[in-house]
Amino acid sequence: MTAALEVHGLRKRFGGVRAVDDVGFTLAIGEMLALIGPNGAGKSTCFNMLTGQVRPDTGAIRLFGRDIAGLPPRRIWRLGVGRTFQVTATFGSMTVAENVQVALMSHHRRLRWPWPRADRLDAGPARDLLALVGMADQAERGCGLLAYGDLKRLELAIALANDPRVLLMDEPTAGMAPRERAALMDLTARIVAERGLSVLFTEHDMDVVFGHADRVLVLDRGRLVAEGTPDEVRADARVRAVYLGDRPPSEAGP
Amino acid sequence: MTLEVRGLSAWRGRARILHDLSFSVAAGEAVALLGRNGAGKTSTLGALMGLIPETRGDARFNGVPILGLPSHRIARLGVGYVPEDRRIFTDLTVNENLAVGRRPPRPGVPVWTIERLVTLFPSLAGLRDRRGGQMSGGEQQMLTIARTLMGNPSLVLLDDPSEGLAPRVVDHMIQALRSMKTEGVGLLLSDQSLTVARHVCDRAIVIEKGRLVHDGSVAALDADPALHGAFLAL
Amino acid sequence: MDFLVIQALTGLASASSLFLVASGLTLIFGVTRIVNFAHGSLFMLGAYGAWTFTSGLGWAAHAGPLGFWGGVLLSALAVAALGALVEVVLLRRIYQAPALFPLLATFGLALMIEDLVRLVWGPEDLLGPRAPGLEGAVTILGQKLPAYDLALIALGPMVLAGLWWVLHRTHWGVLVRAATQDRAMVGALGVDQSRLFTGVFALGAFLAALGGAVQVPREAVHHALDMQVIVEAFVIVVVGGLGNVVGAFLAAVLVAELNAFGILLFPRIGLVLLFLVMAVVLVLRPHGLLGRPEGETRAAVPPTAGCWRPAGATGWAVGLALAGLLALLPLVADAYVVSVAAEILIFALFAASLHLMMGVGGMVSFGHAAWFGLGAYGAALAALGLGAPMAVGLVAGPLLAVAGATVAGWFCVRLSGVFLAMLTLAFAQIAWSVVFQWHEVTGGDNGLLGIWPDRWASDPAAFYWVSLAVCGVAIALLRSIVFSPFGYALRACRDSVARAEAIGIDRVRVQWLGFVMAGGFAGLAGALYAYLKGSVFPEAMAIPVSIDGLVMVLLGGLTTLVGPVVGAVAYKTLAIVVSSWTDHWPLVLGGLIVLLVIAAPDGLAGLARRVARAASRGAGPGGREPAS
Repeated sequence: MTAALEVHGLRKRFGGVRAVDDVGFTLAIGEMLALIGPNGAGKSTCFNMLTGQVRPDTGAIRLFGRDIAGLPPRRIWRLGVGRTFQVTATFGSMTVAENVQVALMSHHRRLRWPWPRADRLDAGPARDLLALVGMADQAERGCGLLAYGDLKRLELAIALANDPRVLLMDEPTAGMAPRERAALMDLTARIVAERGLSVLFTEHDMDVVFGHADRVLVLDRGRLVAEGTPDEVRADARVRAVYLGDRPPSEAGP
Repeated sequence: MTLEVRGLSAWRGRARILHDLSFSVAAGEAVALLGRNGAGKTSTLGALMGLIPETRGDARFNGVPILGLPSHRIARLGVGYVPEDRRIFTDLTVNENLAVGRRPPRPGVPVWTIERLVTLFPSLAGLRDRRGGQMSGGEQQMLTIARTLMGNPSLVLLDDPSEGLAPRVVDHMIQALRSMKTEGVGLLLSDQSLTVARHVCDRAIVIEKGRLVHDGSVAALDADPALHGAFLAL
Repeated sequence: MDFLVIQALTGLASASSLFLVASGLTLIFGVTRIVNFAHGSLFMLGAYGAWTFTSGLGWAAHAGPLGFWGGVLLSALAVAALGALVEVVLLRRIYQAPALFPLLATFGLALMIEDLVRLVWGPEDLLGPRAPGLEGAVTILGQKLPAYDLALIALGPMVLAGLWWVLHRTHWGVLVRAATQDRAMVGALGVDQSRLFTGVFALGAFLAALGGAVQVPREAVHHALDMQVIVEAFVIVVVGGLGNVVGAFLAAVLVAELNAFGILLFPRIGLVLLFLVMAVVLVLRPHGLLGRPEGETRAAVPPTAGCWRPAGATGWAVGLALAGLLALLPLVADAYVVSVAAEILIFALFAASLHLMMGVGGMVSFGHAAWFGLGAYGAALAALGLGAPMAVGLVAGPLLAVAGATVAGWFCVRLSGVFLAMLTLAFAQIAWSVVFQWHEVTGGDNGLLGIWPDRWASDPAAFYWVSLAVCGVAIALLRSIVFSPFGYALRACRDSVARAEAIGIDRVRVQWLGFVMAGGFAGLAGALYAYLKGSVFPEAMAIPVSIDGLVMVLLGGLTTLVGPVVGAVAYKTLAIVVSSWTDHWPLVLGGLIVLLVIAAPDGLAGLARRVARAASRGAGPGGREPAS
């Protein structure tokens, strides 16, 4: 078996709109796969079906062969899928280290205990994860005080807490300064290589997509219109039409 | 000068989404706001419409500072806004949707009536008692523009008006926008591709990661593959 | 059979009045997203106003139908004007605040209005006039029905039709419907939302007052009408679907008929039946019969100020020293002061348990008194029924509370925000009506008497020491729960549900457990309270006790950990001092709540922090620089 994720015939309608219409693709083990497309193309819906936030109408999502379509997010997480959020979702009342510790405690199924003081549980592994993303020196800060780029790195550390095999990243660099974007993606690539992860990410920043994706999926109006290496996708006429509007209007003159 | 933007910055939470944008739109001019997905087009229009609370810089409409004003005050100055997701009142009929947009006539600005709008958007003609929620995407898009025109604006901000529309509908849209321009309504429209901009706009400004990177004629932009490659295409 | 028809018709007559109140409440919520707790007060004001205009002043009695209906209308119009004033002065400031604050502010308003009504119209029930021309009865199937009831039955659909006309056939109504769907877009089209909101609030107030005014010929006017009506109106609005006028009509008929027949079939559990129906509807259709899901974007409680840290050795030392100091109190104070101090300790525990639910768990409760009261009854029943010693009572009380909270919590945690808050209120009312009506076991409103501590603890000083030990340990436990793994899970669900779910946390389960724990600790406080007072009455689980808890937590600071204890001490002291000066404690309390919400939503702790920061910074960096 070489696929981390296999998606077949994924469909979702909202009212009369086919947000995602018969999408299928494969995420190979160790691969960084980008999912792009214009606004309204169905990226978010597609992504949220993978994470369990949205239930697909039909279709299969196989994680290392096991169908996870329709499972709630927490079950999917338990099966070894980490995720980051587009707008960072962290626990504002906790320190940076505690944010990671909660994820670790959850992974170790310790969160039901009402007794020992938890701020020392899993502290060591939390430090290690923070060191991995270059945040060790900020471990004791309140995460409400972090710069945006650092929050994104914290998100990554949290996402790694369950020792995932697959990482789903929703616009990992949105809202970051250009230099930070490259740094975060380099970091991600390094971790992916070290840990043998497979990553699927949505992204707006084409520098990030073409700099870091092994392969690219292009969605338009809910359908997959192109798939291939960055160079193939860049040269694809359909993709050019989606992004540049090469189609001449039938009546409107210049 | 209708709209004059100087050093506009904006934040969403802690993420800075616009960096010192400066540009202007003259009276009756049609300007395209281009840039990749996520470049900050929607945020620019939102900031000008008073929908993003955290902004800095200066924006004047006919000399009146508009940053920090509530959006209804900006609308009453003559700025129309057509949001990206249309935001039709789905429980209301077409007539009622139009009624919500109705404002008194403004001197020196084209006055729109439902009858004139139906001429501009023939697809709305037979639907006046239809509920917004029961219309197709294309019809909704026409309705949201018509609703904005009911306010008799002198400048309309349109956020990606061709998004998700079938090619035939995009053609209708282009015709309507050109008619609006002929009437003397100023347009500032964002566009993910060049489809609409090419046929409607005189000038194009391009933003990338919240910064202004190009301001010039659409023709020049269209003729410059380097610009395409850098800021629009993949 | 004939009797049933009459009963149904009487129900329909009541439905009209209920619909008037509920339609206003639902309209206001639809447009402003505020649940107006003072809506029952507007109803009551409408009733008092109508009484004054039709018979109080004496002139209208001779003016026939015109005088009567004129008085009714005049009253409704006056209340509408008041509603507009309230919107402009108070509510406009808090539209963006977490959902808890508008609820509390309008509750404060309700308290003030109730007290003012007592001041103006006196405490006695007032009997209004019959409606001229409708004094008689109509015979239907051999049974008599007051003619006025028939008029009321007609009024409901008439008002529904009128509202429909306003909402669909006037420009203003179209704007209201548009704003109900998308407020921001309406603003971007040039509509001044503030004025629209004021208008909607005035209309809602008018409808509520009209509902109250038309009740005057049917029932006595009294100053407890507000709470009675608001609870039913809440149920109707929630069952019908928040923001939906037609839903409110259907639900009003449903509720009124349930009331009418519930009394026949289950005379004991009429109220319980009502809330059970609501609970079932909410579980099956969380947004009501005709309501629609909407992404509630607004948080229920404000985010915490900074990170909470465990107390550490110094903290525990300070805590122990404080407890030691408090233990000395009976040596220097008289029995009255000692007994008051014991009560303050008990309420500090009650507030701390509510804080676990609200501040830590992010679940706003308007019905926390239910668990306090169940704890008190549990202890009382153990003491009286089984003759158990106090130690057993102090276990039995919390156990009963835990049992109740387990059932209620299962329903409540399926909802969030305002809906959860209203469901807690509903369950508290169920619990209240059970103990109120189940005479054989609970003694009804006579209460249970003679619950005394064991002989060794019967002395005020000894009981104070027991209270200090129990409350001290319980509060320390609550605090340690916050920093336990489970506490982190609870806080995770409050801070970010999406992130919590995405790291494998089962939100429903965690919040359910948190709900039950909070209930258990509240029950412990209630059990102590039963022994302190020697008696238990249904009032122990009535709305005012829930509100006391809310105000304590808010006063101390919802976003801090010491807040509830500080708040309980400050609040109880204030209550005792103010009550010794004036009979108008509700007025003062209501004003205090409104002031807190507007001026210091972060409580005393937050206020202190802000003052300190302002003092240290002087003229800080100005401008509109966003937070970095």
